[in-house]
Amino acid sequence: MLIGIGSDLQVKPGKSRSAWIGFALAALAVMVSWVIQSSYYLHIANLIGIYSLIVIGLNLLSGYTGQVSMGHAGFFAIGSYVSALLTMKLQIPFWLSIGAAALVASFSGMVIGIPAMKLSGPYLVMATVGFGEIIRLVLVNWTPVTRGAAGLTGIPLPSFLGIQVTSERDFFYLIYALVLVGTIAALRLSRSKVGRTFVAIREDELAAEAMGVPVNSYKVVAFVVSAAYAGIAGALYGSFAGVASPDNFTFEDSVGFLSMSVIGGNRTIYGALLGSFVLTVLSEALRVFQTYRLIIYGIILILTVIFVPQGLSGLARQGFVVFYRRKTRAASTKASLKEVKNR
Amino acid sequence: MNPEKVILQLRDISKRFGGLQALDNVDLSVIHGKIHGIIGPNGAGKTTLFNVITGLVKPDRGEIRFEGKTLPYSAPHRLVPLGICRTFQNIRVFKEMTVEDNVLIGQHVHTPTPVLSILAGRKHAREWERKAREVAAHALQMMGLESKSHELAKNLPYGQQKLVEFARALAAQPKVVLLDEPAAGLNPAEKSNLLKIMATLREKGYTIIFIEHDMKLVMNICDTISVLDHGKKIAEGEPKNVRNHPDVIKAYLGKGGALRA
Repeated sequence: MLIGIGSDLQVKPGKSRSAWIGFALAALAVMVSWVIQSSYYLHIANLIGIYSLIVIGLNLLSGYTGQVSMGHAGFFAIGSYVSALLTMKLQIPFWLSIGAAALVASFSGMVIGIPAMKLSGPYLVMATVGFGEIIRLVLVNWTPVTRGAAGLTGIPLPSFLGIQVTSERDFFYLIYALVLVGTIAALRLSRSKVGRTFVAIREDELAAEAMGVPVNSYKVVAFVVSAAYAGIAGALYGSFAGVASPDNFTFEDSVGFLSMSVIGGNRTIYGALLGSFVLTVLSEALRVFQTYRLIIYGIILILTVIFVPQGLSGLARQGFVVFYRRKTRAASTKASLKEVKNR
Repeated sequence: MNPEKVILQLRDISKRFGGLQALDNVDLSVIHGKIHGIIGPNGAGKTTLFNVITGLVKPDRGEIRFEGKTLPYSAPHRLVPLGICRTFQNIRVFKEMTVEDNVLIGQHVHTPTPVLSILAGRKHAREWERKAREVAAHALQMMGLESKSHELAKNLPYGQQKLVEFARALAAQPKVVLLDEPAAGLNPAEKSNLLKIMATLREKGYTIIFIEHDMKLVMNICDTISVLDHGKKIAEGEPKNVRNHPDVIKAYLGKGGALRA
């Protein structure tokens, strides 16, 4: 499906386009992992992967369906704690706990999706902020289970298909395998009837409803899917960091995810990868200016919204369209010149 | 010839908005395969009537029967599968979507959503998508918009956006199409094109109900006209009878106004 600027670029629904994109991404990831030797850079690459997953889900929700969430740290936290508690207390295998994390996060997504049927715009944003804060406060205060402000420590390293994940590089493969699956799934969803219906709801709820779209159910579905992504990312984050504390899941983090989504371009899936890459790298580079981080984010966000409302992915697409047009125009001029000469 | 069959029947429909009686005991019978015009001065309750029929507004009183069955007053989207679809007075196309995607939304209720097949990239999902695209292409063809299918809807001129909305409603494969002022803002050429499309649809067996201000248009194409004023139906019948109805002249055209159609 074409959204945004590429109106005159006819992208044919290729038979195996998502497979190709997946292949390219996988190849890129493997190459990156060879090139990067320093474990610090691998660590950052891993963070980018985890954030990408959250932001893909956020893009499906806010970019496609038009339901802005500023509470995604809440779903992220739920995923993290559920998976951590299951692996620590019940010694459940990692792949099962990741599924449980996705499931519980989805369920909470459904719960927050229900008020979203009635709320829109800033009111919905307030509701999601409230949701994120409730989750954080539960984590702080439900001490017997969550160990309060200290958080959970000693989350075991995951083992996957009998392979024990230990090093940054192992995590890299694990995380990017999931990013790959998540990206392909989101791409397929976004280009299907479901994605199209999401966009229709963003564009005009009433018209969508009048065309037979059960708008409320679709909104809840968008929340559920989005929360599942954040939940999976949370499970990964917990075992990757080894700790899960309420400090990792604050309002500031939610704002960060939304910034990644907007800056990368929330109306595409790969915009999520771009946005989490740019902002994670930036926030590492700006570690010295830690205190000013939110100010810098804010400025970038404002500039993005004003000058490139479609985000970096929109910018890339625009560049591509201009290039494509110039090429076809040049070709047609050449052809007509030739014709004139031949006369 | 088929005997005239009532496809949509409204009985005693009333709706009050605060102090305004928007609809006052309106009865309406729409015959299958005909074009039924609804006219009336501004604020007569025409759009409210449409909103009631399409489930966007719940009437205080009254009953709507569609093909002999009472319509439930539930969510509007449940009426589309039954065969009722509409366009809006102020254009409500999905602006940032392509024309084709707009029309495909009309197909929503007629195609399944095979999520697993979509996620696995299986043939099954693509097959349904292809079928939906065929219907959409057909609807666009009827409007003469097939060359625009990959344009973003917002980039089309006003008149064509109205046609996109029309095509979107048609893609829902309705039995009754409700058009809310489809000709408003169109130029003469676009209007005559619209008339042609409506006539074609009538031949194909669609039932059309439409609200219109352009008297010439209404008189030319409608089989039946209902006139609303202050929420009441004041006249109904063939165009030539309605045109000369004294109440209609008084309410709609002003005292002593003669209609030159």
